[in-house]
Amino acid sequence: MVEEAQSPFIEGTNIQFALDSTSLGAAKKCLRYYKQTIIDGWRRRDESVHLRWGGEFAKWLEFYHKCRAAGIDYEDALEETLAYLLYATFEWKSDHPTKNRETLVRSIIWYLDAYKDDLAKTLILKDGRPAVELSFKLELPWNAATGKPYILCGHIDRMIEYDDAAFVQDQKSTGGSLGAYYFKQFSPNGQMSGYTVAGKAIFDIAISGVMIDAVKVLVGSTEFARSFTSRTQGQLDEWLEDTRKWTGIIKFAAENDYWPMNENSCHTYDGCAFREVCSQDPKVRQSYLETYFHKSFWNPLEPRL
Amino acid sequence: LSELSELFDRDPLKLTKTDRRAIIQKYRDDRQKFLLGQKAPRAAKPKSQVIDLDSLDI
Repeated sequence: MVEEAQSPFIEGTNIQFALDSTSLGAAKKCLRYYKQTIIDGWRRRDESVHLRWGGEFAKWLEFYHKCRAAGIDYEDALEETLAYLLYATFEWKSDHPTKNRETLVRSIIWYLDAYKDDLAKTLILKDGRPAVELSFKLELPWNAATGKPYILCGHIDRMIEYDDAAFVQDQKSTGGSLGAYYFKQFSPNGQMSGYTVAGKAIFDIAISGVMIDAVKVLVGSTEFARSFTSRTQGQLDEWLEDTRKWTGIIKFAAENDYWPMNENSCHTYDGCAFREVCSQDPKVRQSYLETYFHKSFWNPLEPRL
Repeated sequence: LSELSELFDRDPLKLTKTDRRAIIQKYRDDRQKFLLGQKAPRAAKPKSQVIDLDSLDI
């Protein structure tokens, strides 16, 4: 029996006490965007394929690393991963040219072959488990309501030892270039700071930073590149204090049910998913949402399967 | 390609070890081709022509 995840909101309110980088990032981008995605659960119909592909890619790499940590040799671990992947994704039908089952299989095989002799080794936790697929919940030292502390949630793909230092490893996929410009987005970056804080606090490991393992998926090929991002203790302290202030801002918006639009975020990258919605008259936005979006709620407390 | 599509469409529980090895090998071959293509020398670009305007009788 699968247990239903606890709500990340204080009962009877829109005050979110369990937050992750997705929900914090949404609020920082635009409080209206946060309301539409995190509270109302709207998602563009074509967005789910990217989430699914990225989730599957990280999940099967985690599976492979667990096999390796259990002592299975490279070829057998790769074949075992493929066997389970093909079985688990058999019902997945995607018409997307780059995010589908075949590009997933290709990317897993190419990635593992490319990093077959990787110097990055899976860390073994103090309890003997390999540091792979680690969901965390870190109680923050301030409250959402009396006796209800905020919780920082997240999921770490893998923790590694590399060049005598410990890092969190995070998988990212993109259709764009993997040059230096791509990796600049990870500093400053709340998700990477959160991983570093959690790695230190929960797993009691002196984390040097995050290794970002990026894949560029095209129709006929997959390319790989990696980069590191690190944080000083001063930067982590600052991030934590900023997070405290952001939770206050989100709570204030929820209590007043007022979610101001941040127009400066509408046009970044390829443009916000809700740009066409927010550019309509308020009276017609709801029907626009119902036509081009569907509901899929993001819950940071939901365990990954 | 059709053989690979057939393997992808087949009930995963009916795939044999040999089938899975065939999928892995097919993608390894593709990767080798891709890597070779990346390393292949590109055709030299034609040198841009510089015209000495003073030499022209205009």
